[in-house]
Amino acid sequence: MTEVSASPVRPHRENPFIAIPSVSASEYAESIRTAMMRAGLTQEVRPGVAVSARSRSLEEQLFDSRAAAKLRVASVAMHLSTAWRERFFAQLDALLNAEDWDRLDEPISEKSFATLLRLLLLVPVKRRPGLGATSDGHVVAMWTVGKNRLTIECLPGDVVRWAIVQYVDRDRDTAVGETALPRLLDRLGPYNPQQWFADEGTEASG
Amino acid sequence: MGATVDAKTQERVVQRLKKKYPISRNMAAFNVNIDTTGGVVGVEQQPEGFRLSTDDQTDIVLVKPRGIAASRLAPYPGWSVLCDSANAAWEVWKSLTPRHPIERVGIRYINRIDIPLGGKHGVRLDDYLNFHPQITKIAVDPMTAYVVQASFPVPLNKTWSTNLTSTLVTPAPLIDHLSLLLDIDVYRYGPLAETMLWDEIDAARILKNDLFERCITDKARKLFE
Amino acid sequence: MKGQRLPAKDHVVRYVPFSRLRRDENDNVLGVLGLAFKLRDQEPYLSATWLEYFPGGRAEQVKAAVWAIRASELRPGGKSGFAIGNVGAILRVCADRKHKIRIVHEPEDDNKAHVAVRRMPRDDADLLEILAAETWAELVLNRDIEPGQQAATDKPAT
Repeated sequence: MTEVSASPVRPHRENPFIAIPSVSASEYAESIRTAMMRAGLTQEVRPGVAVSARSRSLEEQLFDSRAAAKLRVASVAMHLSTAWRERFFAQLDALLNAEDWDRLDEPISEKSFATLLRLLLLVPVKRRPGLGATSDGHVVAMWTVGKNRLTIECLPGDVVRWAIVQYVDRDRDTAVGETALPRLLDRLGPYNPQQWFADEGTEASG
Repeated sequence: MGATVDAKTQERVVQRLKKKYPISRNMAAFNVNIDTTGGVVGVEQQPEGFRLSTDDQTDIVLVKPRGIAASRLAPYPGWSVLCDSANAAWEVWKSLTPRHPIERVGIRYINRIDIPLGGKHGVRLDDYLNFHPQITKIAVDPMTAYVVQASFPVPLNKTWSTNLTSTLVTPAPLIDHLSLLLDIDVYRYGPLAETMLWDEIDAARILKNDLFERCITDKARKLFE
Repeated sequence: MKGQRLPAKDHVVRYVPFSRLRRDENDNVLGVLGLAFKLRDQEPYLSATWLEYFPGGRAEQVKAAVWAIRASELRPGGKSGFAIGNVGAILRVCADRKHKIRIVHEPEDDNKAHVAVRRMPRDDADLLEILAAETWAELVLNRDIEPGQQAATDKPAT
């Protein structure tokens, strides 16, 4: 249908024809609002959350980091099983807990966490990783089988730094690299990454 | 949505909902005014209510000066669960705010369609959506972004109106995928008797479902299976 | 003594926060991440505590070192750990990779048993993994050491 009514019986809103969608708590509501602003369809500048001028305590920063991470997970929750998601949240709660957080460390950034989620859905990983963090706010995913270890530091923008320690008989082999996420499996290929990712009974995808 | 409710009353609503929604954040709107004659810039912050959520951030209630909204993020537990949450929040709101007629009621579903690319660089929007912009007579290169919105009376029941919006999600949440948003907002203005509220909301859902089915193609439908 | 290089036979104890412990998907602790030995951007040296600064047998020394770290400004969390490594072994593995590090006693106001590991490379990720996997890998968890804290004395045990 391409016809547009010139004089509607009842205007849908008092504002111009292109109406602003109703309130929603979804991040995608914000995406839509931003897209519409870019297209010049709305002139509102209405962030949804108050920004305080005072510096925030560590507890507040970690809370925000946890909340942002869980919201990110919600954006891909349809690809995760409930059990996997719940256990993953428990790991996040333990990691981003003020009592055990090194006060000199930056909280995990949202962009780093976004890379982690895309990693976990790309690979695809059946076994949840252990979760850690660097001092500069990058989340770290780790898998260990016996003495063999894989560690992946998630940087913003789908970049990962990976490190492997592997033992064949008694010989130790180490390898490190930094790569774009889409090429990670190719880079890990020679080291049999399925030894770490394979399911032990805990599946990622629902 | 109805008459304006003061901040103190909103806070009382928040306190009553705290058990289910322990996490509460203030919401504010910032208005930036630039006086181009005198060169004065002013920033005004206006309280806009509260955002409440469960600890896992999936269930959310927005308590605002003119109404209350209940939201659910993925994973979606089904209509009856969402409805129960909304009803519970509404009962608290109703018990603490002055009686006023319901002026607006609506439901809004923001769907994200994740399309696997399989190595391709793009998709034809009309393979997945019946609601999309067309620029085929203007340019041969694929669009890199778009937003399209239309408002019109709902075909099945013209008492209701809808805002349909669609846009591209960038970056897509999944690697080697392209993600489209399909936002269906179905609403009507009142005044509406409270006794009719939940029947009307159920009716809105049926209308939303119909609009959704009209908006998507069979190819998109398969992605939801 | 301040500035004294630690004997090769001695050991150093490095505080490892929970976020840098190697854990499985159920948060069972398996070891230490290589990142536990990475210098922060502004850090000129890696901090540790001298194990043999304290008197007694091994167990008493470990307890005393942990108590001293607890009494320091670090304030280790309940789920943190402490990685113990032999000085000689750490020096060797670094030298094998062409890094001439120095492990030096540098007492600080909040920890008289403080050690600075100087000239740690900033860009050898393989080294960090080897330290975590083998050389500096013995791990003691904070929760396994008796509650208490006590600052290190001004002088080391003889």
